[in-house]
Amino acid sequence: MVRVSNLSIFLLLGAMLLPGLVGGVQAAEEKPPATDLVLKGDAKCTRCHDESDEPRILTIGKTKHGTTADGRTPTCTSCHGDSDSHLSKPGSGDRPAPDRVFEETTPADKQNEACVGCHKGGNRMFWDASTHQNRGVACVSCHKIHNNGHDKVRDKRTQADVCYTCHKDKRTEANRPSHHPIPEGKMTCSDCHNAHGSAGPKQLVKDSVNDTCYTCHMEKRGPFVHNHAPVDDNCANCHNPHGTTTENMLKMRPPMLCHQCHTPHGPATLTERGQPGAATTGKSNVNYTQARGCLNCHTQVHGSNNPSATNPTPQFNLR
Amino acid sequence: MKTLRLLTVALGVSLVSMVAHAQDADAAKALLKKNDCFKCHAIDKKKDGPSYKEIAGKRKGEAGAADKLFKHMTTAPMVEVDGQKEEHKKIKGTDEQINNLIGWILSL
Repeated sequence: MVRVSNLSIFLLLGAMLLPGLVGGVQAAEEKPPATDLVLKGDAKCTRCHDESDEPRILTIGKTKHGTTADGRTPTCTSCHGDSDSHLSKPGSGDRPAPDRVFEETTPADKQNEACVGCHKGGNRMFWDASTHQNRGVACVSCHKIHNNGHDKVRDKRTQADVCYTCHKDKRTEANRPSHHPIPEGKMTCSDCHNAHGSAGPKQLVKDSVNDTCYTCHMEKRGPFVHNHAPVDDNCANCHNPHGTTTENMLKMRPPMLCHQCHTPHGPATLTERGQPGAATTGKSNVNYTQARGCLNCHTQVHGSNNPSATNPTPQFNLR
Repeated sequence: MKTLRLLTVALGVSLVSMVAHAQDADAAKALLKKNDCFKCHAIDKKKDGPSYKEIAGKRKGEAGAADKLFKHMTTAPMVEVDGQKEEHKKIKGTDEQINNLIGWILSL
């Protein structure tokens, strides 16, 4: 049998009530002087926007913008303006907003002035007149400046999710069976596209689609003894790089893809089935299409270096 | 045996009370954040306004303290910040949310 004395109960209840009693006799506090918390000269901002405020702006200290050892590091007013009217609240009514707030109420160009003042040149050389700039995309539409040190769009694993916010069709394509390994986190949008603008089409990192593809698929570049003109022209003639339901990210399954340009050669059954084309035999006297797969014989569709000018005719990109 | 039973009940009531306070505290802090109260007040540090612990210490045990705080929060009275008079911001929330907040402040 456990015996507990009344004294023990009083002591226990006393311990429960003690914090309340202590709180009851708390003295009035002195307001501490405003001091810089993270950035140089941030005291006039952080006296209100401190660690208890939302959004938690002090997390900028975990980002590169919080590297105070670097003399180029901005302070609050570098981006938000001096905001004198915001600092002195009027006697009645709401406090005026800072000079520059990064919200939809501020035109994108005015928001971006704060960023491009420092972040210019290099990969951002073509920002002016780029598609994103022309369409009113602000830097903060994609980048998070105060976000606990993690800017999703600068992380390969999470960047695509930021892009998919607007480019929803690309999310669908990237999740088709044949795709570049974006969902797997091995590639991301910026491997091919420069969201800050470029001299190439579709804001590609190189000056053409092919040059962009060749940065990884260099074996397709050639030059070849026997080339395939559409390959030299544009990889996207046959491939959709974001993903398709046909293997190798082809836009359509062979032979239909090939037949968009090439007259089918093969058995008369093709024309008998109502498909366009002629029952030619070709130079190799081949009059059939094996399993309807052009690529069974034309294996070198990207180009061939076979020097032979005789059979098997390498100019037709046979092996 | 009777004493042991009494002790068990006291501990049980205490635990239930602590859990209830934890839930209230989350709702109270959410309301404070939503209304930007933390820009001028902190829980345990004086900013432009007094800390919530200081308010609790000043009002604890005072008759009608909750009513006074409710009026202060909902009627935008003039307050003094650094020698300048300005309107206190009106809190936006339901009476239930505001009363929960006041209860939480007074419990600090």
